[in-house]
Amino acid sequence: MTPGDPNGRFTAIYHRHHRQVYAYAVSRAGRTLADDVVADTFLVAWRRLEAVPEGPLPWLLGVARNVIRERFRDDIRQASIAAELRAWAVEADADVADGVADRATMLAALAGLGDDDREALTLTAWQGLSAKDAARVVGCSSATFFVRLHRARKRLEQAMVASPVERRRPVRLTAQESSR
Amino acid sequence: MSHRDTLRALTAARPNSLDPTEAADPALIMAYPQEKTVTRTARRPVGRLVLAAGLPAVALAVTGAILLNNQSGQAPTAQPSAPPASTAAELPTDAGGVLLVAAQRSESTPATTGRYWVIRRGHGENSRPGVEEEQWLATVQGLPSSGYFRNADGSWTARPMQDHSAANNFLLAGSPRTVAELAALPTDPALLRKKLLTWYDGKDGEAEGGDVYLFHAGMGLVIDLPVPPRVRAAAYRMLAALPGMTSLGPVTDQHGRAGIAIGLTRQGDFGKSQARLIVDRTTGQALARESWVGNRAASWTVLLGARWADGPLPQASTLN
Repeated sequence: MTPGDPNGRFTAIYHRHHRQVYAYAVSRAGRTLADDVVADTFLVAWRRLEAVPEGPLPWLLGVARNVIRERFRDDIRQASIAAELRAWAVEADADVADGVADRATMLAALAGLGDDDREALTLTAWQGLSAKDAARVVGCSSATFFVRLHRARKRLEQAMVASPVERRRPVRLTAQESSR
Repeated sequence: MSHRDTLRALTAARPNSLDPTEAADPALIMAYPQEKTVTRTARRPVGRLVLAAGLPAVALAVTGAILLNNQSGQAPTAQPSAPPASTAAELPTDAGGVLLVAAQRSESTPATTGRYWVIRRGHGENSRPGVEEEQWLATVQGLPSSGYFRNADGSWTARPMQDHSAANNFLLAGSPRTVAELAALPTDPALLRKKLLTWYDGKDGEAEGGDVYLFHAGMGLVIDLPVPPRVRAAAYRMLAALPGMTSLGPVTDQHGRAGIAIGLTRQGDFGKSQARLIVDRTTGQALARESWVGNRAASWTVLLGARWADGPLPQASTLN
């Protein structure tokens, strides 16, 4: 692939990162809006391909973040993400096969956090971004992001303890926790 | 629990709904002008509309389609086994039966080829109006490819697909394949399945299951991709053998054409989501693909025609 091959470069970026951009869009705006967010994000990337840096994921997620903010009215986005978060809890609760008893608790706690906390946590835990890259997505310094992540993590832990999820079978989470 | 454990547990709790259900294709995006080369008038909002309507629907394959009543379909020479006399009442309605009839009809179609695979499709998403598009996809290295979009007044606008080539024009479940590679696919359904699975990276943690992969690959082969009729027949048979394929009975596609829908349902977060293939019951030709979430079609693509041509690329004004 040469620098003079925009299609090749774009195609490579697309195939490499499309799933990650989709995942970010779902976690930020819900599945009902995610396809639109992904399409708009990559259209921006194509049109401004020369501006897309190497290691483009943080850049792409930053664009997706702006797309979500600019394109959808806030109440629509809120409704969509609320439905998404409810669905996570339902899905995790129904998923008895994988033996991960604390999934439902974790996702319910995550659902109870604010947008900013949830974003900091999911960029780190689900997108696997470093603090530096995550900071580029949300547009702050690495140090600020670290503080945000730390606070979000504390609130997540508090929420997991404070709001036990109603479930159909015993939870081993507490026992595991106390054994540590 | 330490902080690191919290993040690790959160990673483990990642919901499956973060994974897209279909492998998407970037070709429609690249049909749009890039900023550096574009004039102000060319950067109209219509581009975004077209994109938003078309992209998720196109999903698997940029390209190609099944032979819809084109010249080769009307040439049943020396094919006594093709039984046009069947009445609809005699035809199967179960998923496997519909697909096997489709396979037989595909097989009776003579193989042809050309320098371009020309495909016309309509795309739509949610409540947005659909858009109609025709692509001329080069099958020979060095030839340009072009997309054409139908305007509201019925005229067409050409959008050259910059640097698109025979090497990346045809995507099978997300990966580019040359026409030669597609033509060399096995014509036996079991061997086809085996071959396709060699292209499936099940170790990718974000990948869908093998059967879902095969379903999407098979949909591309029967709907969009320029493959020989016998390969298409094998794809129909492979689909018929996949677990979970169900017949949804008689339907009409988004252009009002009657067919039988076959669906693969996945349990999603907002209820069930379903990928549908609509097949003409009498001819066995694929008419459309639709993606349903809940009780509405979230996106759809109808196949309006596909054929081989030798070019050159036409002027937009010559399309009808």
